[in-house]
Amino acid sequence: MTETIHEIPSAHRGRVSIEIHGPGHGRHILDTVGPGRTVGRSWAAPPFRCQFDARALEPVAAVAVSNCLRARLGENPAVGYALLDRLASVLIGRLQVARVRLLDLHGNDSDR
Amino acid sequence: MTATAEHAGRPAPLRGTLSPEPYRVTGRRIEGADVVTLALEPHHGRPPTFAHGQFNMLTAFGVGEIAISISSAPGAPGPIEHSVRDVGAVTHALCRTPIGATVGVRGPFGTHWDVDDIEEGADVVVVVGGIGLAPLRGALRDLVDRRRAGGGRVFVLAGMRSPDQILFAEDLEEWRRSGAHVAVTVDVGAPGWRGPVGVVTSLLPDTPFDPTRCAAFACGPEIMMRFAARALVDRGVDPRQIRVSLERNMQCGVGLCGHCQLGPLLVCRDGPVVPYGGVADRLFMERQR
Repeated sequence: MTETIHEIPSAHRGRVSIEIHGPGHGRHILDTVGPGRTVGRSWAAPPFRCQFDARALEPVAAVAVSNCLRARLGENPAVGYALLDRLASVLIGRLQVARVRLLDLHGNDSDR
Repeated sequence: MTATAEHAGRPAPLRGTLSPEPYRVTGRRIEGADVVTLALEPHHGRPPTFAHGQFNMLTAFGVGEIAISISSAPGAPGPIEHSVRDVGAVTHALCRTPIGATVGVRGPFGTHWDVDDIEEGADVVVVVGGIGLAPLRGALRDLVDRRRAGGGRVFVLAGMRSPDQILFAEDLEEWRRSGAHVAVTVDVGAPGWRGPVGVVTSLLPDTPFDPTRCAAFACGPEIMMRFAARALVDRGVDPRQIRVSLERNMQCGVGLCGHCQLGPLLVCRDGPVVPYGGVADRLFMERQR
């Protein structure tokens, strides 16, 4: 999926997997997102484009906020700051997890 | 020289401490792509008593000796079990040891998971990564039995590499059926896997334990334990109620050789199980020398 984002999705109930397809390799599950977590974050920064697929692993109730919110954030810096402040902690958490996973802690040395 | 005089000139052999006893492999179970559980019985007599989380030094004769945690429960009938991950020459030889063959066993050594000191009715959170489940397997069996008898809740959070490398899957399912909260996440997902993907600490926010009345055990790669312990503390768990199991190059097993020194500890004697608060929280920042 590489479409321009028109919505900001957030899971409310159920689990969503974040995936990417590789030619000849099928789909790779990169992450799973549970209730209360943001499914997509690409709406926050240019080029505002989806990079991955999202697949519902079970019945999911999600909230999608129109991306017109992004324009409003510029008009109301206090709200914009509060939202991006929360998003920053999510992004930092995701980055730290991604770095730990790069270590392949459960892998055998001979696999590396 | 008489036999008595000959013996009088030598120190008494430290049987079971520095010299391995012969044990027969009576069972061999493949747990995953590179993990084998060996069931061992002594050639003579009964195996010594041990506690949850202690380890033995196992010898693959002609290859070498290595520290392996006991993965069966103390007092359980039958042979004692060790789960071995094939990562080097000695573990490779042990993993390939057939039923009926003999290996050497010294031990048990080290400190243990103090499950008997857990406050009655308190929640127990166990965070494990990969083969780190093995040293806690016996303790979990006891904890789940206590839960069944009206004890505190048991939460098992396990991080594995991939869905096809989930170790002790039967145990995890049995504990789940027995009322424990069991959650497994994998680092690498696969088509058909419907569970969580990510590091084991990502399971903690959705785990409904009471951090104010809780004991926690963590075992696995040290980086994982460091993140897990910090996440538990962030949830409000008292650092002194968290135990972790350290792993170092253990050779003598009795604190003589110093190979396993980590800061002020000799891990084979003062560990492997140590408190996080005041001990492991500092040691996790030590660089290996």
